[in-house]
Amino acid sequence: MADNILEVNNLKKHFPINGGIFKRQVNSVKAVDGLNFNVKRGETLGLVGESGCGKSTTGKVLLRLLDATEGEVKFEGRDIHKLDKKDLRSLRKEMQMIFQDPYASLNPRMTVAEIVGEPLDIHNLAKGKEKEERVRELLDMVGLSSKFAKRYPHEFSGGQRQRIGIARALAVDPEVIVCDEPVSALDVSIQAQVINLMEDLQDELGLTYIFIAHDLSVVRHISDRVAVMYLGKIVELADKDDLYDTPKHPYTKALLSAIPVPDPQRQREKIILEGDVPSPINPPSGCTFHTRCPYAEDICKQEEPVFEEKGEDHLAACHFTDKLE
Amino acid sequence: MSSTLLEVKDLQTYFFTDRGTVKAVDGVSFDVEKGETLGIVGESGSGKSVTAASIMQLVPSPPGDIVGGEINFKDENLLDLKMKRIRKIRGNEISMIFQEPMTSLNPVYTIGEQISEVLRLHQGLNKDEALEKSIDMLEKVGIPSPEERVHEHPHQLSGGMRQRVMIAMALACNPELLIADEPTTALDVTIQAQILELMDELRDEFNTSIILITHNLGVIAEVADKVAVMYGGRIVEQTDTVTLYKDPEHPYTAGLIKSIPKIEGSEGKLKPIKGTVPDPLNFPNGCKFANRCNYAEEKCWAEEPDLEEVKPDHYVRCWRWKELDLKNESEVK
Ligand SMILES: Nc1ncnc2c1ncn2[C@@H]1O[C@H](COP(=O)(O)OP(=O)(O)OP(=O)(O)O)[C@@H](O)[C@H]1O
Ligand SMILES: Nc1ncnc2c1ncn2[C@@H]1O[C@H](COP(=O)(O)OP(=O)(O)OP(=O)(O)O)[C@@H](O)[C@H]1O
Ligand code: SF4
Ligand code: SF4
Ligand SMILES: [Mg+2]
Ligand SMILES: [Mg+2]
Repeated sequence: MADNILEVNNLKKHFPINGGIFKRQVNSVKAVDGLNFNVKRGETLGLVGESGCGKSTTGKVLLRLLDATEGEVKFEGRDIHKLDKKDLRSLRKEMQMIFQDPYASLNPRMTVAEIVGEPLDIHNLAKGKEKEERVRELLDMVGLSSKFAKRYPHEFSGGQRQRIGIARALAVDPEVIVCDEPVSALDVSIQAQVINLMEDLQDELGLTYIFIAHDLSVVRHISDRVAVMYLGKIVELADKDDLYDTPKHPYTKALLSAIPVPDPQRQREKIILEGDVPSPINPPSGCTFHTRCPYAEDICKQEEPVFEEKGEDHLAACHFTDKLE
Repeated sequence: MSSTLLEVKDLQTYFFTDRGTVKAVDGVSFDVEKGETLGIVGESGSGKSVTAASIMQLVPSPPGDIVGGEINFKDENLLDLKMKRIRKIRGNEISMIFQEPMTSLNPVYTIGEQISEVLRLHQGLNKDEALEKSIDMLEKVGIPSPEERVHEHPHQLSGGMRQRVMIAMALACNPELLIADEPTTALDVTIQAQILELMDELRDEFNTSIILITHNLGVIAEVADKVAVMYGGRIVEQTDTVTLYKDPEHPYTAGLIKSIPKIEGSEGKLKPIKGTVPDPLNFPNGCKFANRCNYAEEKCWAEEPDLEEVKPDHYVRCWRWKELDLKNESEVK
């Protein structure tokens, strides 16, 4: 049996919308709306989907940086949304996050050594000489010279800042890292450097990654399995090659076809989706993709399709998967 | 027969800052034919946006200044014209789409008012005619229920819709040249596909010439006829799109193409370009790419190569293009 480090059951995060004179809750943003998936120890699970589909919110609820509205997230069998303060703190050591914007996520008034060393203080892991030594080791691990330790974030390029963010996440020796668009803001040549670094660190330290990105080529490269989200739900989840080569959901198929291929002689037929993503405040009935789906029929408006196996370890939620062949 | 619409010749745009002179664009030349799409690629800071701003004469001055070159549009050098004439050309014969639609749309006015303004100014339409044409344009760029949307404010639209409004505005006067600076960078791939298709259709319909600026090599491959690769304020390679991807002759171009993961999946590690782009004031004295190039030798550090025509319409700025076999990553062909 696969060793699941994370098990996610019916996870929901709804942000309340208050209105009227009494500021009562009048509605909610269904940012994450019933996720079920597992993450295997040592794997990279990619999470993709259009802007606003709930990727970042999912990442934050997995780490309990946000409280869940419903459902559970089990880390090694324990539901992290039921932990008390003390247990939560030790859990924070096991699960870390890297953010998209290497500029905004580092405190401009702290030196690199202070930034990378801060988690060691918070978790009482090292002091004095030992801490200095550990910081040097961490910088070395991410390919930064320790002569940079006394400098401030503004003195670094985007790629170097992302390395600092990675060193900070690694400081507490975590098991799981949620990477939220870690390379999206970087130039392509630098992107490749950071991706290679993250792969090396995973091999070396046995890390588990949840890798959020909207660049599907990057996700295919780094992931073992990939989950596709649409309006707060996972619509397809499979081994990356199965998902990219034989998608079982019309949305995945359209998303893949829309990617521009960097080869002028191999241009493909595109499926152009009509319109925009509907609002997560009042998502469409039945299958939430029916307003844009080229295969939709009446039943799609009424009945929500079950997220189920359509092939070996290949899950998807669609009434008409057969039509895709 | 093709004919040249825009000819940029040895353009130099510098910024005079407290720290020193940033040569943001330093001797850039290219042509755009009627109905042709030129792609400009390069990393952040390579001078793409400043090139575009120079053509439109929107370079902030001070600290910026166009210190040399010619921008020949049809039979006039735009750099010799009075500002009044330039304003007339801007938005009418040449128009531009910016990277961030929110900064170029006015939040106070409805989108109908903003498109109408352009039409009234440049085409002398009256209020009703302008509104009607605005609705037409919104329909053309695929905005649903344009009769209602035309009365909305920019913040009521999604990012993709705002970008389409920008395009509608840019195309309202049927410009002969459209300059699009990262028009899809902030958008999802599904919306990006819509916008690129739209730009293609408009080109087919009106024979518009397009300069498309992006750092996305996939987008360029899809829509450009020819490509200029910029690095450190200079064009380092320029040729037709097919040749650029198939037979790049400059180590930087080849490095860029190799560093991106393939959607069909690829084995093993990615091959990044080493190091980072230097601070604009600290480029190497010789070839600006020398500190990141795997093939740099003494001469590269000492002297900068010229942009050389290596095959008809294929230009490369590298001392060693002839001997390097970039496909097989070896030093001899
Ligand atoms: N604190 C909040 N309060 C209210 N709504 C929120 C909040 N945070 C996120 N949302 C909404 O929840 C939905 C999901 O947002 P989220 O940031 O998770 O999307 P995402 O998939 O990460 O998008 P992107 O690709 O743009 O980063 C969006 O509609 C967003 O507007
Ligand atoms: N107002 C300004 N003052 C000083 N320097 C400037 C100014 N505007 C641009 N520059 C410099 O000119 C150079 C070229 O900038 P430009 O904006 O053209 O780059 P770009 O290729 O468009 O990059 P990006 O992909 O990030 O948009 C950079 O080194 C930049 O720092
Ligand atoms: S259930 Fe219907 S609307 Fe939803 S993806 Fe499948 S075919 Fe399309
Ligand atoms: S001139 Fe030299 S350093 Fe510059 S790209 Fe060619 S080989 Fe590399
Ligand atoms: Mg996000
Ligand atoms: Mg730019």
